Order: sequence, then C-alpha cells, then structure tokens
Amino acid sequence: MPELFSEEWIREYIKFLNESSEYQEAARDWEGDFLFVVEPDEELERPMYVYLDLHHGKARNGYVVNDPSEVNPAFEFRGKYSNWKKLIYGEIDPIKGLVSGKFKLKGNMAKVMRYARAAKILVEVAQKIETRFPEK
Amino acid sequence: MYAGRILKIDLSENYVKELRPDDKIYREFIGGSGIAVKLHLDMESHSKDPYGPENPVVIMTGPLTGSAPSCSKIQFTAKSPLTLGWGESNAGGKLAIYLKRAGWDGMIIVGKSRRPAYIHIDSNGAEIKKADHLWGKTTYETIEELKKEEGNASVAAIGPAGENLVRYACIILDNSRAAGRTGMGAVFGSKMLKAIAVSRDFTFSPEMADPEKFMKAVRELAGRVKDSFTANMFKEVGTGGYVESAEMFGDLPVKYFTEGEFGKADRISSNYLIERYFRRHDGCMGCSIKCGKVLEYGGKEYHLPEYETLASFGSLLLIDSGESLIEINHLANSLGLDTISCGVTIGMAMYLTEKNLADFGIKFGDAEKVKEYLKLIACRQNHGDMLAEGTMRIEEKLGLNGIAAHVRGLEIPMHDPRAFFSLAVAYATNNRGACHLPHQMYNVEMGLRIREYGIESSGRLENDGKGEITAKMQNFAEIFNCLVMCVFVPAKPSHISSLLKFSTGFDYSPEKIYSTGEKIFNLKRKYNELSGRGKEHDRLPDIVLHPVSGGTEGKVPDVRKQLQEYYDFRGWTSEF
Repeated sequence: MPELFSEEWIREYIKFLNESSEYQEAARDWEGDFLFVVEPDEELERPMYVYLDLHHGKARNGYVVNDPSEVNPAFEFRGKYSNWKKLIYGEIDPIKGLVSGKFKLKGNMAKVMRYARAAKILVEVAQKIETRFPEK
Repeated sequence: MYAGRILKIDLSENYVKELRPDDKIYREFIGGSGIAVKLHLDMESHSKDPYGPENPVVIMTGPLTGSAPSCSKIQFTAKSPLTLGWGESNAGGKLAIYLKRAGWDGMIIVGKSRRPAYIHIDSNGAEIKKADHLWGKTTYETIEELKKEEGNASVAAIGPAGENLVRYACIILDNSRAAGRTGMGAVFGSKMLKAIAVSRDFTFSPEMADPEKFMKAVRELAGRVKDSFTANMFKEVGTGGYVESAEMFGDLPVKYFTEGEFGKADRISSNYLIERYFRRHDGCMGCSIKCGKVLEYGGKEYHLPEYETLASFGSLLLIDSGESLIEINHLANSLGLDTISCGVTIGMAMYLTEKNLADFGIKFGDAEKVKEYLKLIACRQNHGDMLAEGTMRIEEKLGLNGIAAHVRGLEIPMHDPRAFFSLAVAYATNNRGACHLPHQMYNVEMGLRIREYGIESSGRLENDGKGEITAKMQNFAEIFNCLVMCVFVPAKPSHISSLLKFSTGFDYSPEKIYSTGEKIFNLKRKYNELSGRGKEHDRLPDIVLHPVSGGTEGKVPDVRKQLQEYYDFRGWTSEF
C-alpha cells in the first residue's frame, strides 16, 4: 500500500486519473500545473509537496518535490495534513474545503473556478487508491 | 457611530423635519432594518396599503457606516407591494456613506407627491425638487442627469418599472448597485418619487468610543477578509464565479426549477465573462472586496451580472449565452427591475406556455424575446402587465397551485433547496419571503461554521438539525441588516462585538448580538403576522420539491420535519 504523496502513490494516481473518462470529459480544455502542499500539524512533522501537470483531461507528469522553489506552477493548493486526510476520506470536497478555509488556493481564480467538477473528480480518483497515511 | 439625526420628509405636505431619536432606540435596535422595523411597528405601516401615501419608507444606515470595512450599505424598508408583508432591501454604492457623513442616520418618507419629485439632501437638510424632466427616464439616465444637476452626489433612482408600479421594481444606486428585492422601487413610484440625491457634504465625522481598539478590530477583520477564499473569489471574478460550482452541487436552478443539470454553466459564468471582457474592478465605497466588475463588450462598457442574474436569466430560462446575459442584465437594471423576481416570473411564463397551461408567447432559451418582455413588463404592456404582478398573483389569477416559485410572494432565488437542504426551512420562514440573504445557509452547507453559536451543518443533504441551525443563523445574521454590513464579509460574532463596542461604547457581547438579532427577527415576524403574512405562509411550492438529477442526487428536503424542529427550537407552537 503506497504512502500518501510518495512517488509510488503519484504513479498510481496518474494511472487511475488517465483511465478516468469522467475526468477527461470534465477537464478536456484544462491547461495548468499544480503544486499540492501538505502543511504539517500534530500528525505530520514535515511538509510534503507534490507537483502535477494536468493538460487536456490527462496528467502529463507528476513527482514529489523536496524544495517548492524548484517549481513554478500556475496553481497552488495547500492545507493542513488533517484536512488532506478528510479530503481523501471524502469527508469534505475541494470547494467546501476552500469555502470553509481548510484549504487555500493560489492562481487564476477565473480559470480554476470553471473546473469545479474536474476538481471533485481529482479527489474521487485519489479516494480509489489504497493509501497508507504517514504518522509521526 | 451615530449622527443622532433622522430626516422626516412628507411628500404630500412638502415639508421636511429633523428628528432626534432617543438614545434608547439606537442602543436597543442598533440601526439599519433593526431600527426601521421598530419605527414601522410604531407607525403601524402593516395595516396600510403598500401603494398608499400612508405607507412610510424608512431608509437607514448603521453605526459602522463609513467607519468599518464593507459597511457602505443602506436599508430601504416599507410594506412590500409584492409580498404584502415586511419589505426590506439593501444596497451598496456610496449613498449610505454620503448620508451619514452629511450628518443623517436615515430618513422617513411619507405621503405622495402630486408631481414627479426627487429629494436632495445635504448637511442642512432635505429639499423636495421637481422631477418632471426625469420621469420616464431609465435609472442610468436619471443618475447621470442628477449627478450633473447636483454636482458630486450619490444617487438612488427608480426606472420606468418603479413608475409603472411593477411589483418587483428595484432601486438602483450609483454604479449599478441594486436594492432589488420586495419592490421598494414600486413604493417609490407610488409616491411619485423618482430619486434621492445626497451631496458629498462630509461635515459629520463619526467619533469612536475607543479609536485605538476600534482600528485594531478593523485590522483584524481586514486580515480575515484577505484570507477568505469566498471574498477573494468575489474580488477576482465577482459572485458569478460560483456558477460552475453551483451546478456541481445541483444548486444552479435549471429550466424553471424542473431540471437539475444545465450542462452549459461554463458559458454563462463570470469566469467566462471575466476572461473575455474584463475592463476594471468596481464596487462599493470603502469595500476591499470590490465584487463589482466593469466589462467591455461590443465597444461599450457594462456591469458584470451577479451570480443571481446569471442564473435567473441564464440556466433558469435555458439561455446559454453569457453575452446575451450582459445585455439582459443592463436592460433590467436600466428599467429598474429586480433580476431575481423578474427572471423567475419570465421562467414561470415559459413553463406555463410549454405545458399549455397558459400562453404567454415566450419559450425557454429565447434571449431576444426576454429583452422584449423586459420592456413590456416595465411599461406594463401586453403580457408584461400580468408578468409585472409576479408569480404569486399569476398563479392566483390562473387558478393554479404549487407552480409559482415563491414564498410569501417573493420569488425563490438561485440557490436550490434540493442542493442545500437547510434552504428549505430558511426560505419558508424568512421574513421577507424566499431569500438567500442574509442567513447564508448555502454557505453553512458548504462548510461555513459559526462556532460561538454552534452553527454547523450535519451534511448538505441531511434534514436533521437544519431547523435549529437555520433559526440560529437567522438570529445572528440580523446583525448584518442592522449594521448595515455586507454579508460577504466573513465577520465572526467576536469581530462584530469589538467593532460595535469600540465605536458606540455600547456593550455588545456575542451573546447580546445574538439575542438582539433574535428580537429583531421576531419583530419582523410580528410585522408579518399583523399583515396577515404569518405562519400559514411558511411553506415551499411543489415546483422546487420534485426530485431532479445532478448534484442533488435526486434528493428532496423534508420541509415539514425541518419546520417542526424550527418551531420547537424557537418555542413557537408546532401545529401546522
């Protein structure tokens, strides 16, 4: 079982995502890369960073980032570890997470808000992976 | 802080008087529609004909007007010609700040002018002036003209819809801010009152009880606004940035509430419009969010339609052209029509025509016809005369039942109670009728929590607990109507408590804010009961209670169950 946001987890995630016809439909015109940031809290010691390049309904590339200054993504989506767990367990969805302040988003709002459904599917795909969550 | 003066303007007798209300009324009712409902009950306006000269219009600012962020709204209140009950509508722009800084907390307008008139206000008082040259003009033309005549002034004006007593006529302020709901524009029209112009006469400077602590509270709130996703979304793309998300949740009403999936949300959203036509940010004076935007389209400047308008004339009518919606919004605002009630009423006409229940000669998706009908409604010509009455009266006239999408006569806004269940009880019990403001239950269903009062949703498609959290949110949210603060400001009770305390010197703890809100909510309820618009109107029409596909997952709220819980929580009798 891969650990959340490990290289193995990302490989599996990209595979599932690229098999999702639902995602391909919802994000068919999307162009933009993301940096996902997991902020440490009482359950996590160090931050985690994942880069994901999404293009026209597919994930073109994705990898673990050690130093976030090494990448220059169009969007950044960040939140505390406990909130990421809630997201992946399906207890909150990405829009609710943003509205309630559990997650922060940087980037072109006009662009990203057009793909609310695609964002929801991105999370649903993550829920399909049997994930081991790191512990302190 | 308060100026301590209110204008009383009698249009019949052509006199103006200065009132100095007792300190007690400020302390007990804060401002805005809190003070207004107290004044209306004292004047017994509930027993008056809404179009009669004796129906007073009470217009109020609040204690934070011009001092705290996003407190540039002003409340217009009167007995509503649309709902026949409590009528209130607020709007931003500059009017509230100009009025307060001229040394006035508000005004009471009574009587009826024999000829078209407008009111000009500065620090010396008010003057009733002739408006024959303005009668018949659009809101934008009137605002433009009065700004030429009165110099640097903020203007609130009605259009032809208000003059012709369209029951959902609105008042437009300055840069396209609208006091849209409950037909306050029609009440102006019934008094032959075309506009109010307040000069920029900043002779009154609000003095804070504790300036240092007040500024600290302002900075804290500003920081929270800066961190708020919703506020940032509104800042970048306006309220219409929510259109696609609304469709995902099933919150975007489609085809007069009969379907759950539009499939073309991305063609009508402000995300689409901003990417193509954005020119500059716009908004209310003293607001950092600036949710208004100016677009450049076809060589002309237009205001960006709000979410409510994009949905009420877009998905609700199956119009999938954002460009058409820019034009429709401009036309509706020019004519002085509430875009929610107007869109829903046209949607009902389309629905009845499609179902062969009546023939209004208009079909879903016909944007050009909608533009034509807006003019007919505003001038009460042909089919427009009946449509000017709103959905409740159309249904009554045709002898139908459950089709008119309204509560208490006010048309249902563009948040679907099948997507966020607590909206069912919120709409059913809201004092001005079906309204998404200021209780913000759709935001509560999306994760907004008010910890101080235990307001948290159990899940957007759950019924349990919804009666209780809705009542609590209604009580809390009355404070926004009193201040008058924009509900887009993510202010917690503690923020509001600090702002109120350090500006007025009155001790307003979070508990007192809640209990005062409850008292004011109940006074508005009392007003409705005295008007004959009480408990028997706590219901939702069938048209929004049929299952639809999409984000609502085919689920429907249990209104009865929610109401039972609501009445129990409020300690009201629970019989239906």
